[in-house]
Amino acid sequence: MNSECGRARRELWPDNGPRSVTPQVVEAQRHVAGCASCAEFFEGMRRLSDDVRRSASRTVAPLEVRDRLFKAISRARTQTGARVRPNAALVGAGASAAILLLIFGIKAFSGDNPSAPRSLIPVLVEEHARARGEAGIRSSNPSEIARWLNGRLSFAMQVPVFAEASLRGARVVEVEKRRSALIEYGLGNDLVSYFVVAGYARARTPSAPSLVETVWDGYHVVSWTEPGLLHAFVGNVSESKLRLLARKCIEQAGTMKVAFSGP
Amino acid sequence: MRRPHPVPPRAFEELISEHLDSLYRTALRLVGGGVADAEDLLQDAVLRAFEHFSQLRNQGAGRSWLFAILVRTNLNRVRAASRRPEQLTADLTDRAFEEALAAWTPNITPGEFLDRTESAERIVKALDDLNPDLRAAVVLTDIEGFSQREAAQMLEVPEGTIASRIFRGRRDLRQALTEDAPALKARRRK
Repeated sequence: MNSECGRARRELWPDNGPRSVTPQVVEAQRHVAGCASCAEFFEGMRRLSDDVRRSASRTVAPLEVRDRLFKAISRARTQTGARVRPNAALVGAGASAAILLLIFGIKAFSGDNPSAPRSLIPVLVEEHARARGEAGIRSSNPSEIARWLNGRLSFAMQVPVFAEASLRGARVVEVEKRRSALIEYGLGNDLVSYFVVAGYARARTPSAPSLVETVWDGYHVVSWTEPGLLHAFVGNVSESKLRLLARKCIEQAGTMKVAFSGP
Repeated sequence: MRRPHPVPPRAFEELISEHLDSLYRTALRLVGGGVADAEDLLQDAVLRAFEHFSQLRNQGAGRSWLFAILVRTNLNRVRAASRRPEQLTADLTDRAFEEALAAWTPNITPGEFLDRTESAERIVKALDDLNPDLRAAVVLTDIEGFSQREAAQMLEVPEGTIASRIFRGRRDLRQALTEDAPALKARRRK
């Protein structure tokens, strides 16, 4: 072991990545080929690196950390709004939201057609945005999901099935202190959330539910109510697609009994 | 005027979700193992990334972009604290690095005398006890798999400096882990 070893080891330092074949590199390679000590050095470095990688790469983020982090992002998104994504499409979406709110607002939030209160829309959108990777049930089996949800909710429900959207799973979420169902569907490359929230609109409800469309933070929301329950589809897809799912969901309601059993 | 790159509304959350485990793991190591400090650092870095997300042009570079923000957020915090007790005395010159490389003697590695669980726990502990500058270099390259060049950019030091920090980090780790190797061996034989 001598200064030649040090030079060769620095020249061929394993983490340097691809290197040019310079005379120094060729000389270092020639040295290492005939030096048992240098060969052991490189093998030792590799083993040590492997030991470190194996040992320290097992840690995963705890669920509560994940939860707090995504809530912080949601808060930041709400506070900064369009400043974060100042692009034309979203400016347009914001304008659409304002127009939609003007058109549907009175209808949506009046006693004649009780629907999601204004404060609820951001909550639903936030929950939708947090959907990926959350705890819950991952399944494409509607019966299995219904069983899972029914064991955790104060109201009974079945899970609607759509030809256009694939069932991904479900979770239970807190919406303004109410335990609510969130069922996830894949619609092409997009994720759509279907919420059923208890404790809303127990007042007079029209016999045929009317759909209310809203846009919040770039997400479309289509909601409707029935006695005691609020339903809403949320997604970054066109409102016509959400409306289609909502209509099919209502159609299935004949066979899909959603019985409310208390707040 | 060129329009900013349109960003799908959930793209940021998806990016974070995809890399959350490794970001958390790295935050935990950068702060030396303190769970509360790690979460604080992670949240600070992620919110900073959120603010600047529209500037990320190449979504494929999202991982290294996030890590760069995490590492720089940590650097800023450390610099702000300014009275850090454990300053790296000095980075090695080329000559000193060569001498250190030449002085490396073949020895057993932790994996050869510790069982899997014991090894993992002790290596993580030894890693957390390393000098923060050496630790950051080892974590980014050995654990998270970034190239020396990427790590150098994140830590704002020359590549040669990262090389010597990785070496010194590994050397100190091995020293810490093999100091009591005979005692551990004897214990395992019982």
